[in-house]
Amino acid sequence: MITNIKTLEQTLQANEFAITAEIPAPISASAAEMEEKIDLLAVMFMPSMSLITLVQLHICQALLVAALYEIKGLILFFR
Amino acid sequence: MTCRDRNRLAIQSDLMGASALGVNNVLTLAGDPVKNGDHPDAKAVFDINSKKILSIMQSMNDLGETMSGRELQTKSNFFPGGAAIIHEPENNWNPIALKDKVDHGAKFIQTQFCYDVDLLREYMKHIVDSGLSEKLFFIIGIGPLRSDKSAKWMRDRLFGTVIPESIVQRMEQSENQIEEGVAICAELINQFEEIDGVHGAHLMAPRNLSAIAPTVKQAGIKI
Repeated sequence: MITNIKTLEQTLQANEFAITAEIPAPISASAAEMEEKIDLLAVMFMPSMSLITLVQLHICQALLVAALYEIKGLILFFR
Repeated sequence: MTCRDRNRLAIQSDLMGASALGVNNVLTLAGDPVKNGDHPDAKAVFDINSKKILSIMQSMNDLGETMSGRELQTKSNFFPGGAAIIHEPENNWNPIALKDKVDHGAKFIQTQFCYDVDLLREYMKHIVDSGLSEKLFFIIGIGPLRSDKSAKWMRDRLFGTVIPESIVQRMEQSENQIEEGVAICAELINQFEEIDGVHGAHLMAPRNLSAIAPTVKQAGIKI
């Protein structure tokens, strides 16, 4: 399903129209809030779209991994 | 990455951490005034400005050095960017501030919200004529509006936001404002795509995050 993941730089250099999105880090990290963000990323990784997310570092990593492996539930630990 | 909350040591530490994690796209901003937030008495740092952060990344990329000249084991691979607002360009407008960002290493510009496609077209004509579009990628800020009230608040109180009256009226007259906000945003993204020098759109939807996905679908951006 995931066929086309490029960096922002690669997308722009290839003269493709880039869509980026600002996804705020969750404050409560409640299940509902995390699911909303995971759903959002799942949409973004549709193969026909060229999308890059600019999100805060740790949340970004966790969500990307979740999206890549189509994980529907995610538990995050914050230090 | 903003200048408001961290000094140069913390900023460089964050940059090194980002680089180590493979996060290379870094947008530099001054940061909103603390008095506008929920901790108005907090101390704003501003040890260095956003141009300095750009030049730190330039140095880490090209020389493999920190601001103090200390050598890094591995050079970074940052893709640095700066911010701008879309405004009416005067006849002899010379985008000095943007040229300055290029000189400090900026590779892309992300703008504040702009819902005025005619103004953007005019602005970008000056950018293209100045040769800046050859040096900078322009990503235009946009987002699905939540309501007419939200549109008015952004227009009146969010610095640099451009929302023409026609968009506000369209929101006011809509029976389903969430859907109308999505439709407006998708239409504008499609129009941005046709403007010379515009390379992308940046979606921001505070308190309306769930509207981003349908906006992306409706815009139908294809590779």
